[in-house]
Amino acid sequence: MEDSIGGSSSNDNNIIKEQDRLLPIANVGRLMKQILPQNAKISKEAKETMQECVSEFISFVTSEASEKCRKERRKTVNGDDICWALATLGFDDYAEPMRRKSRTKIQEASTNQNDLC
Amino acid sequence: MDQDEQDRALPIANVSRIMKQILPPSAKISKEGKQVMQECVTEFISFVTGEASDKCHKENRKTVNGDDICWALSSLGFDNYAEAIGRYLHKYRQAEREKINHDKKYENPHINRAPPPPLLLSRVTRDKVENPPPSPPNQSG
Repeated sequence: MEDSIGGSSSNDNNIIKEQDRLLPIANVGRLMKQILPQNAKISKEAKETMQECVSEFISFVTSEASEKCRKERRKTVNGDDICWALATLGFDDYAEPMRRKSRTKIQEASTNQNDLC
Repeated sequence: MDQDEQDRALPIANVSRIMKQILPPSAKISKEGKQVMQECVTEFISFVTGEASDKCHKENRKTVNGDDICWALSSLGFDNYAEAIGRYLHKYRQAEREKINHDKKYENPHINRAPPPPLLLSRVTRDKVENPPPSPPNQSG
């Protein structure tokens, strides 16, 4: 879909792209607040900086996982691919807790399945 | 997912959308893949913010700002992120100044700030990954 009308539409497109490109600033801000002392404040600039950084982090890790899938001729990126990408990129200490969480969730899912039967 | 967990999480749809932007059109992402990334990003935010908070505390400041985030990234070993984010902040502040000047010149309060250009960190960092980041918080023994 192309829109060749003037600046206003262009601005609208930019706004949409901005929203799509980043995680919501309210959620990012809330997570930051949870780790800070009660009387601390966060500047708008800091929230936007964190938004930017987090999006890059997601793209970076996803790109590595995608390359692995491509080489193995698989179309679906799964949790193990993300963990592998984290380890490959040097985020080893993230990868291991993520693996444990993944296993826990799988076990929980299995338990739920059993309950349903 | 209980309310506490929802409050702690970033929206999985947004995380998924950002992942899709970097993947080939034919690629798919499993639900588990999205959830792992969601958890990981939440951890990343807490990790970096905690470090920035320590710095503010030591300097008796109450407000965390963009420079504190940059410093925290560097301090935690995310040097390539810190450099790219530093460049981002520079452009951000330029854009803010231009906005102010433009508003003054034309006395038009409705001008929207153009968003700074997206970072190309993924490309830069891929070639330079050397220093693994230190341990994330909440790691069990």
